[in-house]
Order: sequence, then C-alpha cells, then structure tokens
Amino acid sequence: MDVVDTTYVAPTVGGPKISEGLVTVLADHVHVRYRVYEDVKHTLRSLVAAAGRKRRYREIHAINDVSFEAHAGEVIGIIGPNGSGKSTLMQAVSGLLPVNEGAIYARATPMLLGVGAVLNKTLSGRRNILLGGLALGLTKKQVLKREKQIIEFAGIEDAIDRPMKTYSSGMSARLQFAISAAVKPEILIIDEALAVGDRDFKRKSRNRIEQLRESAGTVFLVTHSMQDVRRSCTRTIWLDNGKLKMDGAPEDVIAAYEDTDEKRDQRLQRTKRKAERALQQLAELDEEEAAAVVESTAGETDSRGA
Amino acid sequence: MVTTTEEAPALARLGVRPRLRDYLRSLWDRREFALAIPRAELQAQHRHTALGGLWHLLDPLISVGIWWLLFGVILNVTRGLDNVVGFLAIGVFVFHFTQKSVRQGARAIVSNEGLLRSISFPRAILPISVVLAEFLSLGYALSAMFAVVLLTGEEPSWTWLLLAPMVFFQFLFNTGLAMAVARLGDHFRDIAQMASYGVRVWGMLSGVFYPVANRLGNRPELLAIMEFNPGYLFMELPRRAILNNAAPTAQEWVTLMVWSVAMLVFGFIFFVRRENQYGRG
Repeated sequence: MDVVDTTYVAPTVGGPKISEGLVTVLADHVHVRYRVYEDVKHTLRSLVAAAGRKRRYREIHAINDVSFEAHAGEVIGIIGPNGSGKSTLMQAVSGLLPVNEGAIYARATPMLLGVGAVLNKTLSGRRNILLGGLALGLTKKQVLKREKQIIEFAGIEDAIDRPMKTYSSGMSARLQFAISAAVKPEILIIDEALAVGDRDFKRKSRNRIEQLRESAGTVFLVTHSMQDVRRSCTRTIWLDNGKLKMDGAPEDVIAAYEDTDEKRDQRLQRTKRKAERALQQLAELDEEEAAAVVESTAGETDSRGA
Repeated sequence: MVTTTEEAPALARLGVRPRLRDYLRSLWDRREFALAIPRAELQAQHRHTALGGLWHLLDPLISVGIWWLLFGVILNVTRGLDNVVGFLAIGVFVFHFTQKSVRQGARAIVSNEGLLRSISFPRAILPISVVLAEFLSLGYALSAMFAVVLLTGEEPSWTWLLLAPMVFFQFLFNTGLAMAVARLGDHFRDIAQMASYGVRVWGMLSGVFYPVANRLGNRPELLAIMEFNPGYLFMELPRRAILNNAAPTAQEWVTLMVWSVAMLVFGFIFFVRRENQYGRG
C-alpha cells in the first residue's frame, strides 16, 4: 500500500513563474493514455473471443508530458482547441483520472466545479441542495446553514420547492454553480461553467472566483472565451494535442494562440486560391495547348506555365 | 524555489491508494452522503403516482397476494404449511434484499460514470448506498409482512425481535457481495446480467417458494449442506422465529456471523484494491 508522499522535491519545471506564492498543485511530466479497442470493450464475449491472440487497440495519447506548478493566488486559464486535452488534464489534476506516467501533487484535494451528476431531477431544488452539498463533502448541518445563501446566489427563490426537471437549463445550471460555490476549496477547477447564465449571474460568478483568488486559493479555468481569460486569469496555459504549448501571462499566450489561428486561416486561404487558379487555367486549355504548356514548363523551370 | 511554511499541509501525491485506516475514516465522514443517495431515490420513486409513497407498502402486499395465488394455490408447492402467506412473504422479502443488492450493486459503478468523473469521494459509498436503498425498502416490505402475519393469526413472541440481528447480518453480507460485484461489473459489463440470473437460481435452490426440508427429507446429506448455505439461513431463520416462535441454534448464529463478516471483509478489500480506477470507462 502506497504511503502519502510528503518528501517530494519539486523538479525544475519549464515555463515562466508568474507568481512566487506557495505551490499548490504540481504536475510532473504527466502522461495520460486511453486505449480504444476496435471491438466492444469489457464484455466476456470479446475477452473469450480474443483469448490467445493479440488484442488490437489504438492508443490515444491524451496528455503528453505536461508539467507545471500552480501557486496560491493564481487563476490559471486553460485554453486550446477542442480535443486538446483540457478536460482530461483537469480530471487528472483533480485526482479523478489516474495518470499513466508522471505524477500530480497537490496541497489539498482539488475540487472540480460541477455537481450535476449527483442531482436528482425529480426532486425539488431544496432537496438537491442537500444532496449536492453532501456529495461535495459538507455535513448536513453545514448545508442547511448555507441553504439560504445558495438559493439567493442561484436566484431561484420562487422555484426552490419545485422539482428540478421543471427548471430552465439556465436555472438548473445556476443552482449547480451555487451549490458548488458554497464549498470553499483551496483548489478549484471550473470547466466551461461560466458560459451559463445571464450577465448578472456571470458577474456574480466572476466575483466568486476573485474571492477565491484573494483568499489565496488556486483556480483553474477551462474556457474557449478569451474574454473570460483576460478578465479573470493571472496566468494561462495553452494545450495543443495533449502537449503544453505555452505557459505564461494571459496577454502573451492569447496573442500567440490567436496568431496561429490567424496564420492557419491565411495559409488555408492562400492554398485554396492557388488551387482554384490552377484549375481555372487547366479548364481554359485544350489538349494540345496543355501539352505545350507542360513542355514549356519543363523547359523553363522558373516559369509555372502562366 | 518552493516556499513551504510550517503550517501549510505538504504536497501529497494524488491518485495513490489510501491507507485502509484513512479510507475507513473518510467513509465514516461521508456517512450522511451515503444515506442521502438512497433516500433521494426512494423519495423520487413514486413521485408521479396518485398514491405516492403508499406504493412502498402496497407493492409488497400485492406481490404477496400474487405469490400466494401462484405457489400456494395453483402450483401448491407449499403443502403441509400452516401459514402459506406468511411463509412466502418472509422468504421473498428477505431474499429480495440480497437479490436486489446484487443486481443494483453490479451497476453501482458502471451507471455512475458521470458522478465518478466529477466528484471525489470514497467509491465504496456507491455499492453501500445501493444496499442501503434496498435495506430501506426491506423496511417497508417487513412492515407489510408483519401485517400479513398478524392478520393470518400468528401470536407475537419475543423471538420476533431476533429478526433485527438476522437482517443486520444479512445487511453486512449483502454489502460485501455488492462491493464485490460492483468491481466485477465495472470490469465485465455482462456480470450485471449474469449475477442477476445466478442469484435467482440460488434463491430457488435455497427455498424461496417452498419448504426445503420437505424436498430434501429423504436426502439428509443435502440438508446438512443446506445448513451452511447463507441464502437458506437468511430465509429459514426468520421463518422459524416468526411462524414457529423458535430461536436459531448456536451453530446457526455462528454460521450466519462468519458468512456475513467474511463476505464484508472480502468484498471491501476486493473493491478498494481498484479504488482509483473506477470511472475510467
């Protein structure tokens, strides 16, 4: 049985240090791989059928050698295209997903904001506050004490005793955020949660993040909104294809991230225009002329037959 | 570079298997959560019906009526019994507790992937709360059973109180079994189906619907083996305590206890060994 490692010495980690506060999370050369089997996984039949021969699977390297240090008082934006491993990395950081190589160290158990999976839609909002609060590790007494505050924060005073399935998606998202916000974890992970709710609720959520930061917590914010990153984050990590591409001040990382997007677009446009021109030219020529063009281009290497 | 202050907790590695003592303590700390899941489920169950919560009582009562019609009247496999309805009610309710614990236990991890991927808590809470849910509905069923038994003319006796320790031991046994099948069910999805059939056959062999002694009267060696079958004891001991006002023998108590504790310890250790892998899909 493994013991809790308390004597770990932090290795030098690439990337600039924005804050010199206490290290709260340390990711040390983390790898996460998924095996995707070509036939249906986890059935006795497939196991019996595959007995004796090599099982065929594809390995997806979801997180590839990612290292970073997070400090107290930082709000770290995690950006990157879809499928770049942002959510996987956050699940690993919260300890919910085991890593294949490397290790993640934390000073407190990081909490993933999101309590939706435990809630029961048939029951009232009030009962779900209790259920969600208990799931996040509060005692019943603590939940009941904070109940009023949660209801207020979610802004659903009138609907609190109605079954949750009668809520609009915005209402239920707000309630979920409010339940999670009732717990003050030292390390909080917010995965795309700010996209919900109206402007007023977004403002409240942002204030909440700011409070956590000021009380020397660490917040990870996974988002596609560069505006959110600029407004809330003190540091930004850019993931691309499972690798840590850049780690630094939000402005710098966003500039680099958006730059590549632009460049990629430009390159695509240029190639497209070139292909179109070539096709057009070919269509205008008949066979003999085309042959002549080919000959002349073969002769004059610097000309492209224009 | 790393500034550590005296009072701050040290960096601890995530995802390592916790020490058994720490794990048990965290389970105890989350006991209210373990109870809240089955309670919420029970509250939600009959929400949409006119009779609502009354169904928790009506359902077992109506079931007893159906079994009595089928096994007591049509098939008549309960010949020679004084109280057919009481006999069936005790056997079926009590064995249902084990049967449902296994069936739901096998799905405890598989059907909660979303929860496992978003909230950290000791995973054993899931199979435990499955058994707690079945325990709560057994409470309703046993209330119905006592009503049936009193209506069919049984005299209350002190031996009825022995039902409490019997059900308690069965609860321990079911919890261990549910934890074991929860891990198996996560690994091979088909276990959920297979375990469900297996437990039904086990119940049939252990005499849910007929008196085993009648069938095995001329096979004393099989009857002797039956004495060590926990499924048989779970049903036989309450039947005797309630219908015949007879307490179990010392040997029967010991058998019951050994089975329960052994299954609990085995199931728990077997389950916890894969603690950090649940939810991986």
